[in-house]
Amino acid sequence: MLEGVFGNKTAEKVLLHIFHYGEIHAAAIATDYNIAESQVRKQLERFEKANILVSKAIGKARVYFFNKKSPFIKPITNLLRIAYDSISIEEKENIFKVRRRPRGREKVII
Amino acid sequence: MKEPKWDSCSEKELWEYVAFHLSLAGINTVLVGGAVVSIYTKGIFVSGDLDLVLQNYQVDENTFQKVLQNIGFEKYSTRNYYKHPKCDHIFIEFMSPPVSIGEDYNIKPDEIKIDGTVIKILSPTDCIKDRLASYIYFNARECFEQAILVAKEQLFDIKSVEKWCRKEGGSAIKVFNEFKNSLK
Repeated sequence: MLEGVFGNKTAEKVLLHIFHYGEIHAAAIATDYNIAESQVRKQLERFEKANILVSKAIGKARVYFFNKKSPFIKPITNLLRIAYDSISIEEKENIFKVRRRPRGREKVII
Repeated sequence: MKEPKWDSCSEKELWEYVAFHLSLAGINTVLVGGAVVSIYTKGIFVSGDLDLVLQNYQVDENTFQKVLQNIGFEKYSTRNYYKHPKCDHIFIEFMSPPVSIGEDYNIKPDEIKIDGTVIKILSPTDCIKDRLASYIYFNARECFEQAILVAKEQLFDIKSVEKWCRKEGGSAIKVFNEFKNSLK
């Protein structure tokens, strides 16, 4: 959908994942899409260099999220919202199947 | 312009030296981020890096890299990070335009003349907004404290800060009230 705007399919996947989860690390995106982590990292670093994303270290992982200080974020997330909203619920369940919101340590996922 | 003492220079001294040489080569930059706090608080806060936003859209990395190499700086990362081999305590990051604070990108930086050459820095008012933005969007409490430090050391326009916070909306309004109360 937006690969023409963001440069390639991986770039679109990376941004949609951050749009959905709020913050995420490279390995999680690579696992979810079954693609090479290096491909994902390349896009994350590209967007970080462009000040679209920012990152912080949590333990050994580097977690990326939108740079809300950038004036480009609102228009970019508006574009992403259009793409995100046009994905069917069934497909979203498949793409974003891993729950990453806070959850009690022993609470069962049904 | 005289070289700074590389092993002990302040953020201000290094910024003036680098921005002066870039400006001489026609490359306009604006100093933003923590180093501005360091300058406005006369070293009470130490940043350790200079964040320079390029103002020229047509200047590519090779152009400013040449100027930096001429004054002894080396690139040390795939990102735009530069360091002088004799200066271990401060590094420089170049950021792409525009200069912006949240959704506001009509920023008019303060201008300082060094030996007849203009270099640019966020005004105290914009520096406060920039620090508050980091608190609002990144939950960086230390940046809120930096905004207070600058507000206590410099003259600034509190109405402009309030206007910016109201425009950003959301938690920015609450943060403005917290900021105002902290100055009492």
